[in-house]
Amino acid sequence: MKTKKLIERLLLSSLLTLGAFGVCLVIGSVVVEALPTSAPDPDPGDFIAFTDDGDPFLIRQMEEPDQLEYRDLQGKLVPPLTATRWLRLALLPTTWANVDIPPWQCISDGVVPSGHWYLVEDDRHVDGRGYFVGFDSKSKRCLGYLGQSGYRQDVPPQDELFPGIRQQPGVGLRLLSSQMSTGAPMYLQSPGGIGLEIPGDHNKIYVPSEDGKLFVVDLPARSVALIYDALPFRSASLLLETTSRGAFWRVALRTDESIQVIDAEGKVQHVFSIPDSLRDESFGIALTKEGDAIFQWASPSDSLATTTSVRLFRVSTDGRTSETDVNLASVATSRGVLAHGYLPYPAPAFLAGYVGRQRIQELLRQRLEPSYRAAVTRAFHEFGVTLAKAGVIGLICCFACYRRLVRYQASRAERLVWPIFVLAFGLPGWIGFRFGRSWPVLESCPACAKQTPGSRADCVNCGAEFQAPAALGTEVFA
Amino acid sequence: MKALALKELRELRGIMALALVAYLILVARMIGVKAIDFLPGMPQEMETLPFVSGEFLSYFTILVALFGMALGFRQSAWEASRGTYLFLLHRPVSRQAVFALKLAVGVLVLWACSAIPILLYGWWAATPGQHPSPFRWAWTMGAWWVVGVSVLVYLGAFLSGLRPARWFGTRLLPLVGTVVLMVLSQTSLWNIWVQITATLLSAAVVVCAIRYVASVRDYA
Repeated sequence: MKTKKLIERLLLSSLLTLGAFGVCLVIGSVVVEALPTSAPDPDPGDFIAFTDDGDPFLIRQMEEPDQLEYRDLQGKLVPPLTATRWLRLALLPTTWANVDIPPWQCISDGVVPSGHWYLVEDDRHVDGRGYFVGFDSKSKRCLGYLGQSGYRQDVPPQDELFPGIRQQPGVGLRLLSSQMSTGAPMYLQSPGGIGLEIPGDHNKIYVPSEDGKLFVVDLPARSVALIYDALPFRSASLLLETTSRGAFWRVALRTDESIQVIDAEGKVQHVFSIPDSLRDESFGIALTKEGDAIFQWASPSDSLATTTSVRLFRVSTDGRTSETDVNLASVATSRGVLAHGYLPYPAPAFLAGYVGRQRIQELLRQRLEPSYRAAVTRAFHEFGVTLAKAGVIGLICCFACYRRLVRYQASRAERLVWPIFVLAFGLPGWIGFRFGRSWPVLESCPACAKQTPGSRADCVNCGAEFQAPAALGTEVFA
Repeated sequence: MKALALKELRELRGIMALALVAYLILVARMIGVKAIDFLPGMPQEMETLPFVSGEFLSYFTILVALFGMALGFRQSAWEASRGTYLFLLHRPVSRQAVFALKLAVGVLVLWACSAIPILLYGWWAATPGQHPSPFRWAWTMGAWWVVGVSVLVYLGAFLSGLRPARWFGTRLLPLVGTVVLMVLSQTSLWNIWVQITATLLSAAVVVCAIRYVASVRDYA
């Protein structure tokens, strides 16, 4: 019976503890944002941009929205480059699964009235086969379907579906389109200068399949063509090439050792060898107007780091490579929690949970540590001081909890369980313990003058029986 | 018991009506009814893909959460404010049965009313010629998931209304706690079955806490 009551009280107190933690998290996060940290505030908005000649510049976003500051790689201020075309980098990760393609993209075919086309996964298969289905934007009726063999009025049969289009379960399907914000570099930030010249073939979609093929879907013509079936590629991206003849969309295919740049007909326009140090890394690529390739690699994102290492490579078609290293200031988004994490997480258990869920996962995801054990060691070494501070809060609350239990003459089991609970959950745990039950009023014993719970018939200190209250004459005796 | 169930439904009919009106307004906006454009706080445009690409799920989640909170508080705090607990608990039914019935009615009302907008919107989306995009009933899973998990918010509000405490003190902590539980149990690091188990365990914890408070509370 007592055990059952203790468990029930623990459950209620746990809920109150979680509620108090939620409140501490909100208030503590606001306070942490305002508090200073030991690291100097980095300059916000530093990024590298390339002119169409391939020359790199550091761009800094000032306080005014359209105000940009231009520096060379040595940090020297240069006049604003407003008469310049800027290159846009296309991301080529190590594997296709790392490409961030949002699901369910609507692609317009540019016809009037426009047709809305979608790449959908076929329900009949679980291996990521799919097809395009189009709808008239005005009449809303189905326009038809597109599979490997081209246009059909009904759903394509199994052998005409695009194979292996799903990049991972529940996430986006593989396709490249200049209409998608993540599929084309045109949507990247423009550091001023001359506006981007956008090629006219805006309605073509490129669909890579699992077996190393690349299809181009021409939506206005409702045709599908296989344009690439050679070396298997790890990832692909749309690339913008600006030449004297104009601007053109190209597809950059990343193989194990090179980048193949092909046009909409599948003709190879350029081949660039990937620098040895980038063979197992994700990087961005752009083409200069002379036909050279610019590769940009940045060190993995680290929420505690105030600098980011960037390596720049310029590769010409004849294989000549030049390399430059730069350090950029970056905003360490978790520095506040590192320094004052005991405020939003005033409990060892909660702060350890944050370290485990956020920091360790980040170290593993960004490959900042090679193994789980190394990540745990590093994370707890980084947050050691903050964890100790949270532990002190837990100890203080644990002591206050034990004192209260002694004062109210709690049972031995309670004097063991509650202090452990409060030690683990700190301040929110103490709130849950304190308000998770009703406490009897403490009264002074007339015999020994010590405080004793008034809910009892006798004093717990001296055993003297309390006198019954004086009769008023209105009592009811059942 | 039947009389108690009808009594609960009768008391909740006002909130049910308000919730259904809010749901219907949301669905009407999603299917492109222009007559309600003047209403503030409505989604600005129809979804490109129903249930997937727009704002339906965000607005629906807010409405379901508010509905669950309103139901929970109405069933618990209202009785206390009107002093009807003593009358209710003196019926020839055990105290546990009374509160179990309240919870059962509340959960059923929450789920039944919240299913209506999903079915309506889904029926519209599945009808050919209504929108220029594909539709699959599997895309409604997100909305069904919100309805299933919203029971935690309802239980948290019920416990907050039942447990005697200061409103500006710790009265709302159970509700905040269930929201935290909901967030923790929906972490994307877990697979779907772990999330379902975590949600069910969380609901069980809150129900146990409600049972405990109902048994020890002083209703006088």
